Amino acid sequence: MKKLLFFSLSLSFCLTFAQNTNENISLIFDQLTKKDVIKLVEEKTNYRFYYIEDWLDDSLLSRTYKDSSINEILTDIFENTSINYYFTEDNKIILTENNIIHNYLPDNFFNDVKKDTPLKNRVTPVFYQKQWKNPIAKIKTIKIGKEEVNKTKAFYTLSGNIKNKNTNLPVDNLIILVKNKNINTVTDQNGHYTLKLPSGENIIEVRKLGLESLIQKLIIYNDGVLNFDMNENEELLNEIVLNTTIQKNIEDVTTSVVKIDVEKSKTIPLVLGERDILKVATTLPGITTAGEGAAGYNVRGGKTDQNLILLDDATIYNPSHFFGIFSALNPYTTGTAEIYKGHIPAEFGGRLSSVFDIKTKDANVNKFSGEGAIGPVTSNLTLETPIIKNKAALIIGGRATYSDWVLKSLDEESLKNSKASFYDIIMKYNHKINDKNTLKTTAYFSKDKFKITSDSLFSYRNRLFSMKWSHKFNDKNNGSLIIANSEYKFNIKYDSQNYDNFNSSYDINETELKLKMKYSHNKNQKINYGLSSKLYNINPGEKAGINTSSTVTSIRIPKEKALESALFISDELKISKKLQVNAGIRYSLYVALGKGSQRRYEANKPKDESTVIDTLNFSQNEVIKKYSGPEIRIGARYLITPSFSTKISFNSTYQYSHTLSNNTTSSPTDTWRLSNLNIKPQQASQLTLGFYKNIDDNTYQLSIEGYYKKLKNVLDYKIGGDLYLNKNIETEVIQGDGKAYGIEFLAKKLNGKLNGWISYTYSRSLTRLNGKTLEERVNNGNYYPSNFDKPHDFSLVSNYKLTKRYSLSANFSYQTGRPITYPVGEYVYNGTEYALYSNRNEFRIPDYYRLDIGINIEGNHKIKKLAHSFWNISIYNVLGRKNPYSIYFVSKNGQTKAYQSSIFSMPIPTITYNFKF
Amino acid sequence: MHQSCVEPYEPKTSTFEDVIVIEATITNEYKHQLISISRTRQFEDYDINNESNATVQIIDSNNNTYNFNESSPGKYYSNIEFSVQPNINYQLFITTSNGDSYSSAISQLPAISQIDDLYAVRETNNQGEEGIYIYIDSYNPLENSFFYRYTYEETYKIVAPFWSAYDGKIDINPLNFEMTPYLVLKDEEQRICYNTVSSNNINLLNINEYNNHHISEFPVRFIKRNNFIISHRYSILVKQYIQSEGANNYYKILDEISSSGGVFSQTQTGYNPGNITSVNNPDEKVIGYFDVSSVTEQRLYFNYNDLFPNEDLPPYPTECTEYTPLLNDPLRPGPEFSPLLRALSSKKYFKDNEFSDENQPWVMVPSKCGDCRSFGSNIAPDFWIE
Repeated sequence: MKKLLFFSLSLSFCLTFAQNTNENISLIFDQLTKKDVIKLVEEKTNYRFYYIEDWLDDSLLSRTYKDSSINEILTDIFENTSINYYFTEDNKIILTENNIIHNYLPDNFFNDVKKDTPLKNRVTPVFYQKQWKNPIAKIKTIKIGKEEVNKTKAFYTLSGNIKNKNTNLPVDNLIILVKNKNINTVTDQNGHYTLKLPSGENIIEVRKLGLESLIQKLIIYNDGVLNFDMNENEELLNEIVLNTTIQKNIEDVTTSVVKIDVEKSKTIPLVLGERDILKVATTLPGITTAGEGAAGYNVRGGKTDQNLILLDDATIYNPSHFFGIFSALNPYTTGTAEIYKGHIPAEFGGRLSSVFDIKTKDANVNKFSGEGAIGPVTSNLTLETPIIKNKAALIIGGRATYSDWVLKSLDEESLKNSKASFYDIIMKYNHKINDKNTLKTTAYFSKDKFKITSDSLFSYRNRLFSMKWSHKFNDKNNGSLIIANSEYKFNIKYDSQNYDNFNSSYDINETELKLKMKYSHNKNQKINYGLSSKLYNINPGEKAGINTSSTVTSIRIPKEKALESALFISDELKISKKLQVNAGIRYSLYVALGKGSQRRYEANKPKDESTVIDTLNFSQNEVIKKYSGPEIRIGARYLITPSFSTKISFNSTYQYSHTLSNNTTSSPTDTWRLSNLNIKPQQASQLTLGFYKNIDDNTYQLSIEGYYKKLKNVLDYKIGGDLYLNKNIETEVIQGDGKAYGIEFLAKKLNGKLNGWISYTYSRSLTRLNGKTLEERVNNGNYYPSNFDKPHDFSLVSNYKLTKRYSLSANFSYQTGRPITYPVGEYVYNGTEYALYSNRNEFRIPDYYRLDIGINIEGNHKIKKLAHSFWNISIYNVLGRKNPYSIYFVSKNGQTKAYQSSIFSMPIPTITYNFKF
Repeated sequence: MHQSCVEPYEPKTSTFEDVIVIEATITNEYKHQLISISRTRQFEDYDINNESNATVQIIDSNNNTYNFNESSPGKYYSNIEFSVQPNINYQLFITTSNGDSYSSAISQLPAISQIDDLYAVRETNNQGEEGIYIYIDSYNPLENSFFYRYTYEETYKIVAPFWSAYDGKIDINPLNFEMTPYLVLKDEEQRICYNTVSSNNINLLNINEYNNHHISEFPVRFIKRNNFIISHRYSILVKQYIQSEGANNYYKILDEISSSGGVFSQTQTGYNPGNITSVNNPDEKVIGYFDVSSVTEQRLYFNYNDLFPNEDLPPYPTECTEYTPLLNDPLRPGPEFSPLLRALSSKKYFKDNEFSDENQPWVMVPSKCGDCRSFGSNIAPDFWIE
């Protein structure tokens, strides 16, 4: 039924192709660069140019055109340059640098294309791995030459010129291939080619990116000439995004940035059929989770609360559904996902270890489209619709569970009466008001609900909203103003029919205003600067009886409020062709605000009831405590060769908010609290050094990075501490030191039939709690492995294209088991038996390993087909490995027993149907 | 999909740690103070590993040394009776037979408390179950009286519901193996017994939650109404300790880490250091807290009839089915197969069988129903007041 509806919807749009190259204009200019000329054309016409500035030289032009076509003007301007250009249906002109184009053909181009053109790699374009539609013209047979009675030659020479039908220009670097024969050639600058063909029947194929492919059957009897006129392939162009990512890994100054190819993630085998970009992130070095059922990510030995996860500039507090098994980010609406784990740009702050900068894609302003998937756990649908043609559009994506299948599949006795459901919805509106102003607005909501026992209902939700207004002041200055608000809330309802029923809740709300400015001084120097201010409001917890018969005493922890502001500036400076530096500084200022009361404790004594000196009371908005400090963000890149670089960065960060958790892994009921008189901000500094090498024309990307990180005032808690609904959490927590170091290897193969990556990380994450008193000391004040210290981490992600439609994929991951505290004996004390525990995290749970496989089947590629479909069949944990998620101990009837719990202890097969229209 | 995701786990590494366990609570009661020393044991090892032949001393700030002697394995009593005095520092020293020395932190007696009232109230608990709450009221307007710990010792009277003054016996004629049942008067008390049980949970109270040092209606114990221990007469001796915050934390953590997890969550566990350390090796683990605390105690008695007048008694802890075994099995007569003779080992004579012939002479009940000694001692404790 759903499918039918989509089909009927998709009929309502049609392809409009209104290329108008005949519009004539008059232009007079004197001493302008090509860039300026392009700007001038943009102002005078509806055309928009897409290109990379580096391609254009700085030579100055003076011309007078009268009533000339764009075509004429461009031909003139780009004469004697390597710039080629294409018109698209929506008045876009895409410039390409010719001799680079054919160097990076997409996977499904010929595999035996010879890369024989010597290249200078400057910034090069890359093509997104989108659906390729290559409409093939009907095969005609052409006879070449006059058949001679006495054939003497086995080979004849075929030559000709190839022109673009639309532009009437010769097409260079066009590949001409003889099918089933190992013969091929490339056209020269004038579009001329020469081929030696065996006499008789030959089928030649002509292909170039951006042009419609052509297959020509010919019978050659003698030397001859064959000219082609090539059509531009507008469909294809639509799918090309000019980007600079391939060489970017070498040239970018930023160390340790992870980019998730959202589109490619669809072929990765899935758990329960859910595409998950953050799961993909965990297969890359430096990003791990505590286990399959653990929410949160540990980046380079940092705690799960040290990641700033931004969805369209607004913080998302809990990006996971159902205990972290699924991510709460909609993979279909996500455009880009970048994770900064080393050098964090100065504009970001407030968290120590990383920034996950996730951006929703802009909706298509030209046509209506949709995408969806039907899986065993959830179904989702994404729609894009233009609001104002060519200017504004809306994207809406939503997904929801429709069964308790998740819990049933877990098949855990204690979860028999459980129920779980979740949904999330995202909406983004993008509006290009004019050339200088753009507005983007996002709203997001996610909700999880589950029942573990029949009388308790647990729920949590994320809500966020952001608006970004970008303005271009002039050629050199542009900026954006961002306002973002997010809220995280959880609720525990215990409705036991008895007198102990209660309702308990927590929420955090933050609003941020940020001004981000960019000043491009010249090609070699760009300055980013701005300021931001964030207001936190936390309701740290309340508990009350559901009805009047409840005997539960009502508790309400007073609200917390704080303002976190920052000024930032960073300068990207190209010192030489080889050396580039990005020096940034962020100065953050945190103010904890009233009203509230804060205790003062005797110095150098454990913070508890008996050491309270004083209780200070603060009125509304009175400053309770100020913390501030500079955060240094500096990085440099040196190109050893054009495809081999080394980078170094030093980064320091402050964090003023903390999560409190009684668990060794993070859970949705962890509460965020703010720094105050007694809780200091956390601090970290990190040094990263890396080497990056691309080989075989960027087919392979290799990198090795090492890092060393020191952390200060990281919040931990005393054994058995009571954290939720505690008015004086400082009595239960310890602030300690941390250090983390590691070396990360990553090898990626970007194209070819077999692609994917292998990553291996050796890393350590250590904690030291060495307080002044015995109870603030853990393991005698020595460094010990943190809860997420997993020294060896190996991942393999691979995809093998069998045919255009079928591909196989496999993942394998291995990790050292997470540290754990064991009971190491038992004893009797006051007549009762107790277990003696080892030093904290002295032992480890067994190692984790898992193999997943998947088959992806693309629907057929007929051009006329209205909906594109895609099947994914995958088996998660093929080996059925019972990876322990936790090992815990229960003392019952004087006996201590160990139990191991696994989340997915058997192979889980799933089928997902994806469609696109 | 029939694999559970929680299953027992066998740790692969041998993880046993042999650690000394010192139980040392000395109080302001004038008595032979007790220090118990044992060692940790492996799991599923049931014997307590007592530490014998240790030298145990407590030295106070007036340079008094109290020596302790081992009276039974691992139990060390002070040679002399003494009580802990306010404003004096106490420190514990232990040297084990293999020469390891341990010393405690210096400790002082916190405030001395009093119990104002101890009383029983018939009420319904949070789970909606009816029963009896034992409440305590206390007022201690002193400094340093923040942390309370309660222990109790309860004693209850047991009345065998199917008691008879007689025991059944069977005389067997050695010539013809003819059996003759007869009754003798019991020579031991089997109807009324007493049993005393100590609390084994950790019951802590932090007085800051209450106003002005007033403790009122603090529940020390809840007994469900169907618990047989309150069937007749019940007594509870409640001890109220005022302890240091360190001791309070120690007990609190001890209680909290005894259970540590579920499917999705895991509480942080770990070694819970007390205030006793090894002199030779500061990194050595030592279990136990040298607790110098003040104690006050109060005893309460009540009868079931006081709180539940004319209501049914709680069920007796065992099923009391009446049996009428055959003297001679009709198919296999004689003592060898006599059901009645065999029943004598596990059952008690209750009364004569009025409704049957000579072959089923008695009504019998399980021993536990006719002899209270299965549940306690037939000697009333010294303190017992009827």
